[in-house]
Amino acid sequence: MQTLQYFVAEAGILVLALGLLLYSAFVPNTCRKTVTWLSIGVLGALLTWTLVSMLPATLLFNDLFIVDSHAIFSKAFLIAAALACVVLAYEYERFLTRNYVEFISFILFALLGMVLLVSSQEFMTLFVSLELVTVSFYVLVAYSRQNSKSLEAGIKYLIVGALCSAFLVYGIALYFGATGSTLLSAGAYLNPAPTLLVLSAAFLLVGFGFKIACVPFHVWAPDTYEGAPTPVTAFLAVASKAAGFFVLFRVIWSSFDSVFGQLIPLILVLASITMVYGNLAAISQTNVKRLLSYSGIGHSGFLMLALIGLGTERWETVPFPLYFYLTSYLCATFTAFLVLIVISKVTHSGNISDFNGLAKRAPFLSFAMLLALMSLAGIPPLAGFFGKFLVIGDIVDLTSAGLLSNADFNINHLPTIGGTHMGTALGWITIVAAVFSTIAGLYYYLGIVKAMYFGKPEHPDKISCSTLTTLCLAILLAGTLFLGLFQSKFHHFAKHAASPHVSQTPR
Amino acid sequence: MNLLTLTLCLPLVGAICIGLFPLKGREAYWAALTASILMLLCTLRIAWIFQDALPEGDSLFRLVEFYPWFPDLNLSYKVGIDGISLTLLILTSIVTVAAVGVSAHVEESPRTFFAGLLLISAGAFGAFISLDLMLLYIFHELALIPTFLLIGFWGSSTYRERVATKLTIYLTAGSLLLLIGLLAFYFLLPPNIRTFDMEALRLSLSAPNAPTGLILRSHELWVYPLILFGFGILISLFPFHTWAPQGYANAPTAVAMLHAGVLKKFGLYGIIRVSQVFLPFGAMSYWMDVLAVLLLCNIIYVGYVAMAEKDMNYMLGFSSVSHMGYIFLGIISHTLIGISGAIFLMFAHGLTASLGFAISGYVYRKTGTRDMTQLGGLAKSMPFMAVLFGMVAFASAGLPGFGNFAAEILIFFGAWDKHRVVTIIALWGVVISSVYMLRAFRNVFLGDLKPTQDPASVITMSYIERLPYLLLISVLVIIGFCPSLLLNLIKPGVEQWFVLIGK
Amino acid sequence: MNAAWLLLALPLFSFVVIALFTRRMGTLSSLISTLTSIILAVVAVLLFVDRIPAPDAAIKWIDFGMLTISIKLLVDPLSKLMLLVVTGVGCLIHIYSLGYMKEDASKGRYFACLSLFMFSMIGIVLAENFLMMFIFWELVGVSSFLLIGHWFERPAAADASKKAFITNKIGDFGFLVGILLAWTYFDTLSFPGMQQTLPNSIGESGTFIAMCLLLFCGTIGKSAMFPLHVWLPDAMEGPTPVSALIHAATMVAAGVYMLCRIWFLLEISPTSLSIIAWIGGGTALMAALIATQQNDIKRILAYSTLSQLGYMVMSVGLSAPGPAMYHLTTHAFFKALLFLGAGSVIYALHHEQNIWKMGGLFGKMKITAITFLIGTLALIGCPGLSGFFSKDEIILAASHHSGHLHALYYIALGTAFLTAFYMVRLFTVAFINPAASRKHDSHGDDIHESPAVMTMPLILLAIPSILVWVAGIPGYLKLGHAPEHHGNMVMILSTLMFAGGSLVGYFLYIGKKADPISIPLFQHKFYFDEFYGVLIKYVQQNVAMVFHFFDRFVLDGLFVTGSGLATNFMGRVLSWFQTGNVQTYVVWLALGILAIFWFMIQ
Repeated sequence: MQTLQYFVAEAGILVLALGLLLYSAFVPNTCRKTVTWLSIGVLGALLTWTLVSMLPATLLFNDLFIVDSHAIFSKAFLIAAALACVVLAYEYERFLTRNYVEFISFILFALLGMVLLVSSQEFMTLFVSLELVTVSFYVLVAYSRQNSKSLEAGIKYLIVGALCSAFLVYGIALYFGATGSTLLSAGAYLNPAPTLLVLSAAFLLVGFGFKIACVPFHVWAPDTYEGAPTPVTAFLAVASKAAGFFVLFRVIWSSFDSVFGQLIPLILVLASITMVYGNLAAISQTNVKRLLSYSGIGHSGFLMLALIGLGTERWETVPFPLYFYLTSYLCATFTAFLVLIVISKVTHSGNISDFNGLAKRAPFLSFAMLLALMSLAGIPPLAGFFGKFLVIGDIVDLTSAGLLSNADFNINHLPTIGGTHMGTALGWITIVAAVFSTIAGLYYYLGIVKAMYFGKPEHPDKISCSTLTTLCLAILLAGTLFLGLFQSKFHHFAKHAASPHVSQTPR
Repeated sequence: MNLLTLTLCLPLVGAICIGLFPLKGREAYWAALTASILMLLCTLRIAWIFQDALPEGDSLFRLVEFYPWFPDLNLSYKVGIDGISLTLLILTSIVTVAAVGVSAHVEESPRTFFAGLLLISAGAFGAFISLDLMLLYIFHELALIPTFLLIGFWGSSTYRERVATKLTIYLTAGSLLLLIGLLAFYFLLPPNIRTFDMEALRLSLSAPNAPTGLILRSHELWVYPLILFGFGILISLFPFHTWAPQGYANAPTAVAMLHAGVLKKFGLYGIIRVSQVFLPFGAMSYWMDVLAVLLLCNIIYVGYVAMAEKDMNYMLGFSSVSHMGYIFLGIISHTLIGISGAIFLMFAHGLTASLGFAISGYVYRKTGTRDMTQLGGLAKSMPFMAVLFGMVAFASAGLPGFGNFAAEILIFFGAWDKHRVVTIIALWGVVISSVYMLRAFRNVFLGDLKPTQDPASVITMSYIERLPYLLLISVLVIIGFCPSLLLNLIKPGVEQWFVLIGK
Repeated sequence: MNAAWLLLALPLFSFVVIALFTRRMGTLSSLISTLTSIILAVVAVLLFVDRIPAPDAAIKWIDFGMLTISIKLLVDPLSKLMLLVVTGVGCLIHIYSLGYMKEDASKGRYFACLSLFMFSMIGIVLAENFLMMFIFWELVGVSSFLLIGHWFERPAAADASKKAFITNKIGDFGFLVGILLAWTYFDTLSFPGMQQTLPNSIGESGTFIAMCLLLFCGTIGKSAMFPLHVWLPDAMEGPTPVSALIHAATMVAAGVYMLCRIWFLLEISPTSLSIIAWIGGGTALMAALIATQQNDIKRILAYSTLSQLGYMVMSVGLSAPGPAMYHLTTHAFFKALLFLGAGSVIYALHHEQNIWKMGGLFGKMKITAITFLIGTLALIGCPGLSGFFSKDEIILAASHHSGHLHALYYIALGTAFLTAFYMVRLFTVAFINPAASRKHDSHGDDIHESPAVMTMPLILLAIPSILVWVAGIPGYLKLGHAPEHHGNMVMILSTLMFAGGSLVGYFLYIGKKADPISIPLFQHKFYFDEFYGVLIKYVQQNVAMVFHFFDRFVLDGLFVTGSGLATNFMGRVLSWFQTGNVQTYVVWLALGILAIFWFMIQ
């Protein structure tokens, strides 16, 4: 009983998912409205519980599980994402030829996997829950079977995903070889780190790289995003990526603290490439979903910088930039996809040209889209700006203060070329990449704004949207603005979501 | 919530109301006009109480208001004014009223238009009152998207969309450069004085046993250009000026007025507030010579470009770009006279430029062309505009009786000691600008009417219609006749803000 | 407050009132402005006879300690005399304009500008410091622009006004640089202040010469000296009274006045003085030569103005500022007289300006003809008339110099001869010769004398042109060393020049229907306009075009737009990696993983 209270969220999700599954199995024609409102209600309740139940951080099941501020925040985040995703699904349901309720329950299963993932403190648990996520996504991506694109997307996701999971397992094995344990905290005490640990870090990075869609493990993303049902795309783009980052953060900081020095240059390089690639490739896209998926890749680059930023001890142990960036990304992305769904109900292709003259046909929708896109582009005073601000700020701090070349990061293994240490050089390269990709990003986001505000509408008739959608959009927009204006409130919340972080405490 | 914040809220609230309520037809125009006039009145009130509202303690600013915003990054909502900012606030309000006033003709979805206008001016206003570096930055970004929408939708040419995108991207590139510069500056500050609060920085610069600079000199050398060019792009410093004429030529009149009149000044304001004071070594280093060369390019090179321009709006755009050179000259003079002159010219040029664009917009609306070879003899059909444009031409040519003259004289005398050659070459710029301005005046308004227009039609303007123009020109003339009105504000501000060298 | 301030306050007031309120009411405006000018004349006289104490109050316009620009009146013999000339001629011309501009549609604007001009001109005269002088110097330029372009719908007038303004701007460019130099030299801008702080030990250093010459640039612009003389003849497009007031009597003389004002600087540097002298002499001769071949009555007078200004400047250059002011004074009166006479002729002939289309006016317009004759005689230095004495003083001053400056002596004499020649030519052709057959002979007979309001000023101006009371001027001014009076030789010579020139002119042109001699070089004014035209068209415009091209296609096109396109292209290239084919993806994946391992293991 004492331990169960830590599992209210997981249990709730599980019960709801199974319940819905059975309900759809036995009741032939299910009432979609009730299901939607039911799941929204339950998820909302769980979200509130997660936030308000100020549980002391602990380790459970002889250290297999951990509940700490990081875990709690991550859970809250993921449940919120699932909530939004349900709304999207409700808007989208007319495209779902097959059982809607089943669809919802699969989303819930994926969610369950994620919430387990973010609080697993041991690699086996981690792997299992990760697989739960991935498998449910295999189903979700290929959910509308008639649509060949959707199937293709599913296949691609399956193949690449399987490959990367293999690397993940390999990495875990090496980790076990190095430490003789599968506990996350085991690696933290090997100093100096054996090459084996470094290797396993690299392998694990590959495994998680697939989840967070960082170059070169992003290859699945564009096609899958485009093919998958839009709610799934959104869920993939936000929740699964966020889960990846949450767990990556935990792993790096509990297991690979000692190899962090070696990891920094790698992460910097990968992040730069990811940012530039995602934002450049997005420029030439005409399909909005595809465009958003590329821009999502770009954002993963920025998020990877947020991992590095922890080197500056400004945020104690709370990865505030990561949280902030992800939350702003959640608000903006879900807004964009929701609007996209509503639009594509009327105009059945997902192309930018669908947005022509939207400002005349649906002022509110286009305004929401405008804010969302500008937030993604990082225009103040919206949330996205502060996300970028925090992330870039940390890198500038590290670089200009010369931290990237000094010993307490033990990355002095890097050579010094022409008086400048490679670490500093890399830092500057990353900054330039960030600036460049931000500009490129603004360019293609403006492309959509152009279509909405300057384009000529095909049909004069207005586009309306349901109350639920309007409500959801309003909340998301409020979030975007609130985060942009009152970061300190959010920071306070993120700090005190629970008592401090215990991931580094000895067994 | 003191008077400054209140005044800042006026355009914001105005914009929100116009956006929310379903106003019909001209109602949006009247609402916006009311908001801007209220803003002007409040600004005048601020100017009125400015002398009595003495700064508290050793503060450099008056009407200071402070709320912590993001303590972990030392971000705060801190506003306050000194003579310099007050001058620019007055400019902002005046130009806003005029810009809204001349846009009565906007028919197509006026609500978005006027809401955008008010947002732009709110951004400028906020930027001029904010004492926190990031606040300054955020306010100046506030104008970006409205400008994009306004130019792209109401712009006055076929390829307005492309121009709007280009302008937005270009300016964003500039502000990102600036952002990196500011962040680098912030993080290079010694931890005990690490803050975004400009006043605190300034005080720690002049504190007893204070360091000569805030950050290491070797660092200043690379932080300075980041901030300089970050702002420089917004000021259209050569060679980053090409967005400006295009932007202004294709923007709707009101936006051109606000952008050329006010937003540009924001960049200069930033340079005066930040890079020249907080990075003194960088400002006096070889970057000063680089800047000297660039500003000469602004004055001479861009001046000649303007001379070759046929399109009236482009010509005005280039001329306003080229006049930025004088302001830079005043700034790098590092003398009380020069810098005061620069700020004075910011004010005067703001009025001149916006008036110029207003006139050209009017002419375009009435005649349907801005090609100066197609126009001629308009003094017959629109005498009022002819008189106004004549005055604008003379003002830009630095004629006494207009603010620009006093300002340029101050700049030249201030810069003379340190930069003789530069000053002499810059003086030649006055000749150039008188050439192209008078040429435009002669081609468009003097001479005989071109067959393209019908000579009979004398276009009458009601007095209400004339008011915005009269507002601008009268202020310009008043400060031209008694510059001390403004200089009494500017001088103390410059004296206390700058660590001055030489006479 | 001192009454002298009226001199500035009144015309400004009249300008503002007319411009803002009575613009539309032509007659009222003209009366306001004329009344003002009369009061001004009275005040000036009172000031001259010392009934009004010299004011010493100062209005601080800009105050920066080390740079203080104050509006302060400097009343000394020099300014008093100049004031007399300006206001005297000014008020007469106001009166004359009442008649001349009677039918003009935009009378109000005209008189407003006249008042503005009076304001700025008096400002120059009374300026106590360089910047105050510069301010009004510029304002004079504006009013001249407005008045030349009064009939702005005439392209010629519009162009002429533009040309005048820009040419003056070029001169002022040098002037301002000179002022800046002076500022660093003396740390003050007020003339008395400079005179006090003027170190006696000061020799002529390079910068000092530069300063003097740059200040002289102001004169070159305003007084239309070579090489910036081209604007003055074109300025004749303005209404004739304007030409008389601004472009003959007062404004163009401001340059000379300024030279006398800063005489205490110039006298220190002989080098710059000799340069000034040469430019003056050169202009005098050149203008006279051109004048011999012009046919437009006003242009002839304009060129003679040029050459007389050349005389004055030369005289300053020959370190005889006193005679310069002397000649300035006399010239102001008789040249104004000549212009007004010409104006009255033009008025009678319904704006016919070509002298070959005139003729036989002597009988028809008695007063005009006689006063014109007086003016002519005074100008060409007929013994006994004012012009004779003043010009004589200058030639005398020239005769005292040796070395290369002595050449100016002969130039001066030659110019005197030419002056006599072209003026007599003008008078013979226009007045004595039988009436030319005009195309529209309708008003061949109805030519009659102009109204009294126009003839009265002629008579009033004729008087000082005859009188020689002004002979005391150089002594009165106490500028430079007063010239000695044993110039009999000079006097004889200049008389000979006068006689010779007049006789040649008379007998060459009496009874001629067309010009017997034709010298293209002179007709085309030494091709200066053509030369400058080429300069502007091919040099300035091409530079502008090249810069414009560079800006448009290199800076903007290549760099800005180009970089945008490049980014776009890179985007396409990158999206080609996304083939949609899983095998390829796996290849990328493998390559990436290998790279990472290499990165980690190295």
